[in-house]
Amino acid sequence: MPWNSDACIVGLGETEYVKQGEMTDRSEFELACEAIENAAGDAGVDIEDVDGFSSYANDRNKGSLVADALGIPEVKFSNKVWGGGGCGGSAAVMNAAMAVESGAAEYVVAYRALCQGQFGRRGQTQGIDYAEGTDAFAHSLGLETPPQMYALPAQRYMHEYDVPQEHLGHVALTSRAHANRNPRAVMSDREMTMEEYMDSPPITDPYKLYDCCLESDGACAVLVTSAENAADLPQPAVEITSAAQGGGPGWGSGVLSSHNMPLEDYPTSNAARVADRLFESAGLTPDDIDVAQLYENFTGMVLMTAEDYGFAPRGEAGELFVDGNAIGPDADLPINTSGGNLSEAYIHGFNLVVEAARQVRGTSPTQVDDVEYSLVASGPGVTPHSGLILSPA
Amino acid sequence: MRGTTREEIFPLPEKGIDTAPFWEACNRHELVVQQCADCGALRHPPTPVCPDCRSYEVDWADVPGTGEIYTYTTTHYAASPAHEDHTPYNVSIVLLDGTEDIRLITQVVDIDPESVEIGMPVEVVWEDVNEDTTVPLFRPS
Repeated sequence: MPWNSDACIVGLGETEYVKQGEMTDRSEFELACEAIENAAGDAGVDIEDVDGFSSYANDRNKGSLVADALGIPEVKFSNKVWGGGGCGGSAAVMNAAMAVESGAAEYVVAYRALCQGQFGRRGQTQGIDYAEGTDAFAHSLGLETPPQMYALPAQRYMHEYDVPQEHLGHVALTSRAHANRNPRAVMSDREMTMEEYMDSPPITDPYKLYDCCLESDGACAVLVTSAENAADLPQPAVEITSAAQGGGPGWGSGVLSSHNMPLEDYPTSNAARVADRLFESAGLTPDDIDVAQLYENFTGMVLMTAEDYGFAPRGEAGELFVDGNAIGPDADLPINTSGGNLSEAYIHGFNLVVEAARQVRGTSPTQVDDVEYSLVASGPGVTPHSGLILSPA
Repeated sequence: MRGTTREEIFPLPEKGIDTAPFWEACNRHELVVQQCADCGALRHPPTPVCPDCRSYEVDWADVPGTGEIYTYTTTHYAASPAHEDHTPYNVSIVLLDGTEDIRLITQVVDIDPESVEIGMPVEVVWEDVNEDTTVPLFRPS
């Protein structure tokens, strides 16, 4: 089925991004409001005209409360995607587009604010005495944190395809090199070599410190409206050319607790089905993509995501990254061009959506020439995974 | 506070309506897997409905308590102060014998965590955490 919408991203909003704990003067909730106001302001849309709020799992900042805080006169669409962590970032934009296309709402904002310094850090346990339901089978047996949960498929992936540790390292180096070109990135001033990567402390095998995303404080948002409205607004409109969300059987809690996905799917990112629909509904193939943002909570998942999206055969995604192959505007396929979760900031990957849109506008710190199709893949390893293809309207 | 016992380091399993028979079998040192009473399909973790035939009738099948390491990680960092004296530790996914593809999340003990390998044969060993709770760990067989 073709993606039957010409809704566009017309506004991009961000706060500054800082290391977790450094945001001490404003609450996470305030940052959510600020990013949404920035997106409306960037779009040239009166904040009171925003009538829809779209988010995804693990959001503390409810759209209904954000709307009240911002003095929105009438909310017409309010929605949150299920699933863990950053998997639904692109799905939140997809849902915003569907709300606009259906006429349910006119200006829908998709957003994420995350201040790990003000709440629990995701790499740390919360000191609970009991684990309930499905989580008991993981947490009570030592599998408590995301780096462990995502280490398990990576270890199996490396075993099945004989993937060297350096392939993970090149994913980290790629994000870092792009952050070094991005003055807004948390790691803007810190370069990284393969030697430094290999010497970084082990976290949970095969992951070292630099395989793991940052822990950050910040917020970002995008504003979605119809193509008709977009044509009258000041910014170059970014068309949502294709959008898809979902996953295969057994991936509901996926790597976050069950680990009983079909064996043939296990060392993957659960993105292949979504990727197939994303390309098919746009009439495109992986070769058509000019630049890609692939969610990097952990480096190993980027390799599996790249393969699920058809950018490389199984077990060979490392070749996309070695020798600086994915670094810079002239790369065959530049990947994670703002520094992403690993080196720009970890805002549950929503900053990757913002960067994918910037690439279409022509305003990325690592701007690729003449971008026709810009792809973003949100979080891996659970359902729903989600992705977008963006292009100039 | 640094933990020394499992109770102090990891959260204990709360026995829910769907999951209690698994944990109660553990208390008896029996490893069971949920089985559809109609079509016989095994499933884990426990759920109220069979994803193969949609039956809500549930049985529990005994499994041998042996298997092989499907994948694993050695955790070096402390996820809380309670973990500080426990690192490094192993977390493994064990592919259970007597099933086609059922995997159990567990920890492999009685071996240096750095020596655990994919494909290694293992057998269940029970840790009685307290009088209400027993968890299935594994060791090389």
